[in-house]
Amino acid sequence: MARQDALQGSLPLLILKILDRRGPLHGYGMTACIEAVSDLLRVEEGSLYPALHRMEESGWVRARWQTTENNRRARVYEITALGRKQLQAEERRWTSITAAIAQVLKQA
Amino acid sequence: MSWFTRLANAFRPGKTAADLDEEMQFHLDQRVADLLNSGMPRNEAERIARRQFGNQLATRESSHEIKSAAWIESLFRDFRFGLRMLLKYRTATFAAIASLALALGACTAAFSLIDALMLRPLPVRDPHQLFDLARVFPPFMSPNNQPREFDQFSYPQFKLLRDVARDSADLFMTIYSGGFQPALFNGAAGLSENIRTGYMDGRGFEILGVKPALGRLIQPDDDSRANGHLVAVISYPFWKRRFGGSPAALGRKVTFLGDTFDIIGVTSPSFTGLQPGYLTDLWFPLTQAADPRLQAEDVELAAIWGRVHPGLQKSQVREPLQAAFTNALRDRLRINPPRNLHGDQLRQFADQPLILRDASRGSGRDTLFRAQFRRPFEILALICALLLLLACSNVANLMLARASARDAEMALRTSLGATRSRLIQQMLIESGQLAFIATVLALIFTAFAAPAIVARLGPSELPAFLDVAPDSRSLAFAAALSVLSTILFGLVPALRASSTRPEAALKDRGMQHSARLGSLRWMLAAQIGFSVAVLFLSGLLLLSFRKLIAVEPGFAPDNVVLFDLAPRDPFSRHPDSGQRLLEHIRDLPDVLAASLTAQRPMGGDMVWIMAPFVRFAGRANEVIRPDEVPVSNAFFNAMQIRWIAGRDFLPEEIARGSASVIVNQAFVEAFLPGKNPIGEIFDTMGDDPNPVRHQVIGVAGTVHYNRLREPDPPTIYTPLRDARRATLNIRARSTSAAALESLRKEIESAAPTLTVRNSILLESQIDNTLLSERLLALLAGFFSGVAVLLAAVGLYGVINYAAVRRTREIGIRIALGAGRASVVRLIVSGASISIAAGIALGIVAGITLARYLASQLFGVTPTDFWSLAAPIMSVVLAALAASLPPAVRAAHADPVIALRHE
Repeated sequence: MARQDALQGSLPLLILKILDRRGPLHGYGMTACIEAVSDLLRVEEGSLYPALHRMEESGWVRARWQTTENNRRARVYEITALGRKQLQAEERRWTSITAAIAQVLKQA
Repeated sequence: MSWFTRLANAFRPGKTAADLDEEMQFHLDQRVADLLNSGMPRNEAERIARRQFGNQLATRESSHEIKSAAWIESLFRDFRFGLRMLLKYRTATFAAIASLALALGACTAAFSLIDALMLRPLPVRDPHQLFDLARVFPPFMSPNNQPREFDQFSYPQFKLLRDVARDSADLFMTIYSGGFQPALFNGAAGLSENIRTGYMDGRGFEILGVKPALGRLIQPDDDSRANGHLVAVISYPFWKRRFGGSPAALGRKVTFLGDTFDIIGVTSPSFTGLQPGYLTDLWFPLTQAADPRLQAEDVELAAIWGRVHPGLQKSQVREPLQAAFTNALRDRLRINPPRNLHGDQLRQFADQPLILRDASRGSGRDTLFRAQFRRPFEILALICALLLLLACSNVANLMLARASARDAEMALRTSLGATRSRLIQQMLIESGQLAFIATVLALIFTAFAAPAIVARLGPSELPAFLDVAPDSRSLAFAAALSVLSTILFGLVPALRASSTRPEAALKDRGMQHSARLGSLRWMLAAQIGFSVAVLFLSGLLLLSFRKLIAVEPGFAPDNVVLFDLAPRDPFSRHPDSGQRLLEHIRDLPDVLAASLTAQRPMGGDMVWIMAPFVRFAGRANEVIRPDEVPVSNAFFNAMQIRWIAGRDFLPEEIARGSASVIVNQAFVEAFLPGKNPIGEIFDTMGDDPNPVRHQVIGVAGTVHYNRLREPDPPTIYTPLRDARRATLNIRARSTSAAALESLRKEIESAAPTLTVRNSILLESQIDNTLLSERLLALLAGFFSGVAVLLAAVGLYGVINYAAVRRTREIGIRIALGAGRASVVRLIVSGASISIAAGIALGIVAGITLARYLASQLFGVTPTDFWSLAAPIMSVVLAALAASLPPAVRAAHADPVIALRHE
């Protein structure tokens, strides 16, 4: 199982993508989502929350407290307009890098 | 999240922490719920959830830092904690603050002095644009064989240069204030007061950009006496001192050299004159009040200053000035050649290069005051810097010892996840708090110390004035120094403490002590080294001063009063040999002896001594130029100078002028070795190009007439023909103020054309030649005390710490039968290597630095026995005094208690 560390810097991209696709989610929802989509990726909680807070700090996501169906308070994150712009940029960067790496792997 | 929120969060860490906890708890609970749903037993699910989450505390910490400008918060927390720690170790804190405050205060005081004397720009508009003019005339060399710069010009030269430079610079002419001169203020009941006067032309203040604090300053229309309105401007300090800052000072009248002037204004508070170190009390318009000869082509009396126009370089101004000056000199050669020059000198006369000197810090030539005190101030700064290093190493020692005592605390914090930088930050904040408190105290210390030093700089007849009031420059210096010293003394202990290995420290503190003591030992050696260096340099100064005041001058100064005479009419041309005055004074019942001399004894650097060339018949000009001192008859008798051969001047030889001269023993040894000097004939050539013939009639012993440091060079005593500016030496039965006042009245009634300009006891006059040496000796004594004290405090701290650390070991030793004496030896010898190393370092540093002191030393060399023994012995004694109490305490420890010691 690949640790998240192997994908340095991709965590914000994943979070932004998930929030963009699925709408507001709490932290646990995001881990569950990533794990559900991919067997390979697993998010360390120790990285997730600092990353979320950093993104909140940068204004890419917005957070608010929400009460869940079983009456618990959960902190729910939601992508902002700035976050969407960031997402596009990150996505472009990611595809170009992976394409470049793939190219090298093929032709080296 | 806004900055505001982050700041707010920093102030309520509890709130954000709770939020974070809740968010993570939610996550954990969700995970557990999911795992339970997949059929896992509850305890298993909780274990897995927790493991996956990892170090919750660390996550919280890093999220917390993001959320709340954590460093601000940590600063606050460290600040509070630091204060608590400083209060907890009160003795160490007190010792650290006291030593730092003293050292920082001494450094800041030294800085204020140096700044005021040499560095600070004049308090006028754009001082960097200012220059003053000088020229070099190759035939005249200064004593060290450098071309001598002349910076006095005639008024016609000034007018010419001013007009030539009009497009590139504004020039003005000024005369600096000299010594005190008597002036009479109306309403002062006819008592004259001593003031220092300067002269400024009509545009000077305007060009400098000096504003009036009251009234108006000298203006171009004051440049003439034609309208009959004579005016004067007073300086702000003088206004405060003499008139109590009252506006009524305007319109008061002052009588000076026969003219009466209206006081029309006060200069701005910061402006004290053009020569730092000297205060000008009163400014007169140059052409109203100065010597009437000022207007003559060949009388060069005043300085020329200028300000280049904005955007121009000083070099661009020089060319036209030089051309005009050279032309003026050529004209002068043609029309009215200088009478005291001849041959080659005349040919070089027109080629004098003009120099534009930087005058942003006062006149381009060093004043006597600057020349006299530059080196002493540098020495002061050197010792202060050493003292600061000493204090820093002392504080570092205290902090190291304390940090070692806090091993366990540091270890605990590291294992709880504190990062190294966080620990260093905390330690540095503690250091910073120490330094801050010390700096505040230091500034208070400086505010008292710097003026106290200034008060000792000048002789009583010419007090020094240096503005050492705290200003932004000295504050900035103190702040910078405080930061620097925080790093110096704080970083090493911080690095050491933060490198604590938690497992080792928590397991057994005793195990580490030898390694830790290692760094303590080095710091201790450094500290001893610095204190030995301070003691060594201070010792040299103290020993020099002791030797200097023990010098026998060769004359008897006790009960001798010096009265400086001046003609009532400064422009009269009738000489007065003073014979009548002398006879009258000698007949007074309270006078034991009296004589006149053209050169006041013990003038130090203040006097201008004639030094003519000497030529004996059939020999070339002598290489050595003897001093020439005109004296009256009975001078040697009155001063009780040893008489060697021949006879004294007869009164009639003085009165009518004669070829007879008396020479000193040094003259005989230099020019007439092995001969009978009486009757020898020689010529002298001074300012007068024609040789003057002399015949030796007597030989006196060589004395220290001008300064204690060295005996007189070969000297010729010639008959004093004109006593109008001479000094009258009177050996009186009493030197009380009343006796001096009645003597003054006797002098002025016996010689109605003369006034007494100044009077001083010869003994005080001798003291005045030792101002810088006395000041340095005084400060050296103070610094030596501080150095010994700091060395002792540092040693005590370290040795006490080592002794406490080894309590268990000592307990075992005592239990096994070790004697008390051997325990004391054990403790004391632990520090002896550091002490020996420190002494060696300090002596080497001291000897290296001692050459900067050379000009202030007298009769001692750095390698003398006492130069070396005194500092070493003081440090060894201090070390013993500091190490015995902890050692004895350890030796009397009860082994049972000691073994339980944790």
